[in-house]
Amino acid sequence: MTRVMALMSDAWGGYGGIQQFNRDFCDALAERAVTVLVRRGPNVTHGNRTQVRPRFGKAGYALRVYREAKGLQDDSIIFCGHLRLLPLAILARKISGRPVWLQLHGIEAWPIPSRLVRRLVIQCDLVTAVSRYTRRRFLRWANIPPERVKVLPNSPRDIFTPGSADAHVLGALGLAADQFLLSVARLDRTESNKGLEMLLHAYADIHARHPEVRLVIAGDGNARADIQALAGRLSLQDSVVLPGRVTDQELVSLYRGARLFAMPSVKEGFGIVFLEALACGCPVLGFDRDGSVDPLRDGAGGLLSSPKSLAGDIAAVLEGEVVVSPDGSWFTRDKFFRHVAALLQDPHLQAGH
Amino acid sequence: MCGINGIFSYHYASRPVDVDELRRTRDAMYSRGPDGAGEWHSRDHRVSLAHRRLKIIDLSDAAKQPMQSGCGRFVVSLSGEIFNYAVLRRELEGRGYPFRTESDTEVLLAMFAEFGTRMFGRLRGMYAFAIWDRQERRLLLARDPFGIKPLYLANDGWTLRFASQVQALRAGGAVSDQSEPAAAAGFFLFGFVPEPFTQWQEIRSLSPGCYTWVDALGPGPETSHFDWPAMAQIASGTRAPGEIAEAVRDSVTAHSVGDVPVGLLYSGGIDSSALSQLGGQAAQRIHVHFQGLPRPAFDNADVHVRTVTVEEFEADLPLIISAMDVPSIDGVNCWFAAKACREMGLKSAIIGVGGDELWAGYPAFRDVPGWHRRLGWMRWLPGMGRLAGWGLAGLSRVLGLHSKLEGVPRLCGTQSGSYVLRRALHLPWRLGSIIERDWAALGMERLDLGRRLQQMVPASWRGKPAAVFALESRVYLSGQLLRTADWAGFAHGVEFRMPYLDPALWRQCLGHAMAVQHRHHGAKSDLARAAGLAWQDGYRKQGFVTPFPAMPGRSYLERMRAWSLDIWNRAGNGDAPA
Repeated sequence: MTRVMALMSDAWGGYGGIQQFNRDFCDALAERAVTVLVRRGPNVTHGNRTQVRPRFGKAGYALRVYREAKGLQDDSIIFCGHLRLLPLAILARKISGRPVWLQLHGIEAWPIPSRLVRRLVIQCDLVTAVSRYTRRRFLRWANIPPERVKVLPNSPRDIFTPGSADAHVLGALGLAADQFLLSVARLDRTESNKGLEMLLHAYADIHARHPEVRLVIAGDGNARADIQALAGRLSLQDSVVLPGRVTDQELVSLYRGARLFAMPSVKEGFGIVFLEALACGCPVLGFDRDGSVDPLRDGAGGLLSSPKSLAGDIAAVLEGEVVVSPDGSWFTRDKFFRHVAALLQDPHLQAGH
Repeated sequence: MCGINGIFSYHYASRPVDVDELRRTRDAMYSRGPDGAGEWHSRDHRVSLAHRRLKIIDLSDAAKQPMQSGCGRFVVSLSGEIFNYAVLRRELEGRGYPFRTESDTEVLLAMFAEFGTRMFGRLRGMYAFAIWDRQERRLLLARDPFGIKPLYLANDGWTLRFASQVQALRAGGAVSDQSEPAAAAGFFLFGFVPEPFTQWQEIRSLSPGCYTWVDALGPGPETSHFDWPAMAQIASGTRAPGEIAEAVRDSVTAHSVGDVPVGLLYSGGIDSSALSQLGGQAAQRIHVHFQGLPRPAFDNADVHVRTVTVEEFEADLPLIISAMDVPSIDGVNCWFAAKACREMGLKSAIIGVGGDELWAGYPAFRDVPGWHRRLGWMRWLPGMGRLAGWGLAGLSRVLGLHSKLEGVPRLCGTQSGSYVLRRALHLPWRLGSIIERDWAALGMERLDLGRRLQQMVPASWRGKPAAVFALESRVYLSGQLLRTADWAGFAHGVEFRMPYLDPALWRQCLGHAMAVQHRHHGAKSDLARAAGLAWQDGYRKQGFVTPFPAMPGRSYLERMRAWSLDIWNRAGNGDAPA
């Protein structure tokens, strides 16, 4: 039976987009036995998927990778869940002679890395990038034949489905269905690039004409106070709602009730939140310059905007001049599962060494 | 003949084919195929093929492309010619294939239906094609053994676009404008952009002699259908003049098929004279003469001499630059040769390209093995080469010695290094003074010459003089000569046929050329003898001479360097500030 050795920073027990992707990926491997070596998280077993966190820090982790690699069989593959772990994945490849599959999640693959990483990456047998933009940025420095680099998009979890919003959830936040704009982000100062300030300024521009439409920015972090302060300076404190971190159930209701989901990010690897919104039947708006164009399918699945036209574009949606019909059928969990299964049969992984 | 292109939205998330984009790309190749245009779309709009046609074989509309196979399963778009189509057709008819047209395209379809990818060994021709398999929903892309016909791919991770020309892919409007540092580095290193690179990062060529399948996961690995070492084994040992003459005559005859007259470009040198003597007697000979350069005396008067004046050259230079699909310091001569053909109403002409690669005519065939034999020990002394290079660089400047001398100790430790030195316009570590330093460094890293050149040489040839045959054919021939012959010809709607680049001829004569590789001019004297031409020991290569405009510099190398900078800047390859 084929085995997969997966090197990941964390999977089960972690919170965030990459961790979610890692769990989804392991689920998609279906029948295959998977050993996941993580740096953080519990030792757990889900069916034939075993998550192991080696003790004694980096050295202990490296030692465990070495031992596991020694035991790899002829039909196994090595999955490297983060560029940071690539040196160990290539080490395992050297020991076992088994192919390495590297996953790129987004911005970690954009800047030009050290010479060591550039030399190692050439040895990857298959690379999957979350978006076309991330793939292109990677290929700018990675001297690897382009056909070995594929695009494996994210997919939203099953809980995101269309329907009507829970009135209690909206009521508790003082919202009415179809009367608010929504954005979802981790409000970290390090992620100031999410363009929320741009969104606030654009919202200020249209607020006079549409005073009934409120702006909800869900998510928590150390930048929340900054956003609050900016809303105050723009005299929008009564119209901007910052509910903090919300539960999955609340998030679904927010997506279902929002008039428009907007994430004007300028450094987005992909933007799984777009897919969550689309899966809940909410129209989406994003910028036209990075990974966001993928979930928005170059404008076929959502409205592509730019920093200059942001306020005008949002107003056009509110005033019905532009109709953005959400279609969640392009990126589904089912498609993701089938895509991973097909990639396992990709000739680049079958070539052997 | 022809220009091909297509779009395959292979990823489940990609948008359906944009037909306007397909047509923009196709019609940007108008001069490749002014005689007609066609397109084919799958019912689900996920794949489209297009074609611009230059009528050469079967001039009727029945032979228009893209063409579907009789069974309806395969659709093809072909650029080039299958020269042995008549023989293959008779065989396929014997197996019961019905044919509707007289074209080579239909034969290709039937060959593929019968033999699949095993057909490549049987094809004799210059070709680049795409075959869509409607049943398996996958696309086959392929190029001839030497890469005479170009095929460029742009894969963004969702959609694969391909075309016969780089500029046409950009004209479609959906391919990234990110420039490729390896192109700049390669251009100033050699004077051309080495395969598989182009000036755009997203656009790469399919390797010569390779095919690839594209399915729902995108392009697969390239597979070679052309086996170099096997070819030399079949042919080992010398050949008698009669055998050489017979092999060349066979190739020229094969390359003369078609329903339009075929001309012959005649420089007066050994290669083109031999083609004319051995099978090419019937073809109209054309000689391009550049005003101010010496004109060879032809013994027979039926050579059409087309004189290019300095004024015409200067007036046409902007057209030449804009026709350059990929920047190159060569191509001017081919461009005027094609212009001369067009003026005479010829769509097709035989040319001696590949003669120096097959008959070991270039000095590199002697110099590279010699340098490596004498200096190969230097690679065992790390740092020595660099140190000696610095010393020589200083000495060269003071004494006015050859500017590539400093490269000898640093490069001649390896065979591929010796080859780089032989072909270099600038030395690799001097590129930083021509283009931006970081860009040059990144470009050299992406070119990765040490590894790339090593991989081009079949394992059994490595370290031996035979390696030069592979290096010349896969670096200089494919990157420089074939790319320029293609865009220069098609700027005027003229296809060049190259009888010296015929696998059957190479199978016959490569072993002979290897046996006499060490001789001055290699096997050229044997070719001359085979063709009944006079051979003098003081022979100097004729070739197609390019008249460089009055460029500053004392030596040939210095004039070439100035010319390369001029070309690069005129072609607007911005990312390389001087």
